[in-house]
Amino acid sequence: MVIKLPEYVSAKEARSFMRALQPELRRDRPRVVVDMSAVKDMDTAALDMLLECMSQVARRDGAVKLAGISPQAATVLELTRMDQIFEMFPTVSEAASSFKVARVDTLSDEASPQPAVA
Amino acid sequence: MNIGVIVTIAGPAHTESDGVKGSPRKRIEKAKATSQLLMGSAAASCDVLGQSITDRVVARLRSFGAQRISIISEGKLAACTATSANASLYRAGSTPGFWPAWDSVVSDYLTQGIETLLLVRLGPYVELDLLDLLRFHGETASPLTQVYKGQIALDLVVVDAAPLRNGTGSYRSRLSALIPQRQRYAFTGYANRLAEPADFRRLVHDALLGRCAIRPVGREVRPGIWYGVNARVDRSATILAPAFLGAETCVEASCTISGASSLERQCEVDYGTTVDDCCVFPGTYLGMGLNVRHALVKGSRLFHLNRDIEVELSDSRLIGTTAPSRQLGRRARSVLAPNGTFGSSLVTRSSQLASLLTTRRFGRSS
Repeated sequence: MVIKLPEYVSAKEARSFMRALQPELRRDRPRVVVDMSAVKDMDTAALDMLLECMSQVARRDGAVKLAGISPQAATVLELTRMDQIFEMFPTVSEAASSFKVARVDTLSDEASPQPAVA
Repeated sequence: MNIGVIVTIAGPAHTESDGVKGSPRKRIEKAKATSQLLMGSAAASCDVLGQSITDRVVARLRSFGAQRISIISEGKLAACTATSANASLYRAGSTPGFWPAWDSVVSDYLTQGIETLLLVRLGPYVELDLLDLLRFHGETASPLTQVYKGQIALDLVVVDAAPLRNGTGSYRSRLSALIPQRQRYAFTGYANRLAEPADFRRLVHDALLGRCAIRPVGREVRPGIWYGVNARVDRSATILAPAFLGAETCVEASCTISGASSLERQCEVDYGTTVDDCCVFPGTYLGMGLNVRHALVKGSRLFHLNRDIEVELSDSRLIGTTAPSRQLGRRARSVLAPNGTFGSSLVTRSSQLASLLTTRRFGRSS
């Protein structure tokens, strides 16, 4: 699931984001890409939102990745040290691809009939 | 020394007017299209290690014996306080505008019998040897000398008063007429154009490392660490040299100040925040647990030097001004009594005041 954040992210936008996230949270291993390319300003409610999102997704063994982070958003994330918590990608497609790579790795492990033992 | 000095602090309006065709300031070669605006205000009015650039320039001119100094600004003159107190201050932002104000100052100087005028535009920060410049000017036959650093013209001009006094037309036009006869004075000392935020950061960095004549206003508590009056630092905070903490600045527990950072007066760095390679302007609040690096911070505005971008944050719990304490003071005064004295209303409003003080002490409301 890709969710694009608006230019300004505050409490109201955070509530909308969490509502939009609910269908994905019903899945096993939810995969969320947050597109932050349009973000110009975000406050502590937005930062809380990202942390809450990460927490809920992690509870279901999923992952949240940030993509296309605008310089303004990058500055706020660095300021609040949240750049050290989230995986970040230059584009949404690269963030989405990173999920696919992980899934392929998992499948190949399952598919291979334990060659090391053989 | 019979010299009159006019220090000009260019504001946004003046910068625009520089482009007007025929303006002498346009025709005098000057630093290339630099507005010298730093995060919304003139760089010259910004504090550098406890004193504004304007005040430092005025103090330097006074140290060379210049007594008559006038400052013309189109912006706020609030920052010109300490050493400029004896200088004549003009705010040209209101009518009649810059040039009438300038003409008026020149007229006053000529009436007082001034023989030489020094025109300084801030702008660039230049550690000028005024005596050497005047000696050079005296040795040349030119009525006008302009200061250059390499091929770059600095906004410093020495001009004889006689041709201004004896000419016709406005003083502005008389000055224009002298420009073709100008001589170049090659300046080799320290200069900073202050054209970009990175220049300002470099000036502070150079000052802390002793590369220029700017000295911090405060007490050197350890080698390379200066505290202004009433600066407070928690014992668990780490301050790495060189660093400057301005007057009444407060650094809370577990903070780290490093990378030749400066925190000007009345700043507050809240619990656990790291400040590295930064200039923090007066009255700025930095919230808890932040990681502030490679930046200039002025109230709610943060200029990131590596990204070359300015961000304005709306959430004062992250960064903002320390204004809430002043707001509290105002509100507290209004609660006490309209005339500032204790009245009977104090009893009934005491709980409100206590609530305000509790908010200030234990947390910042949004």
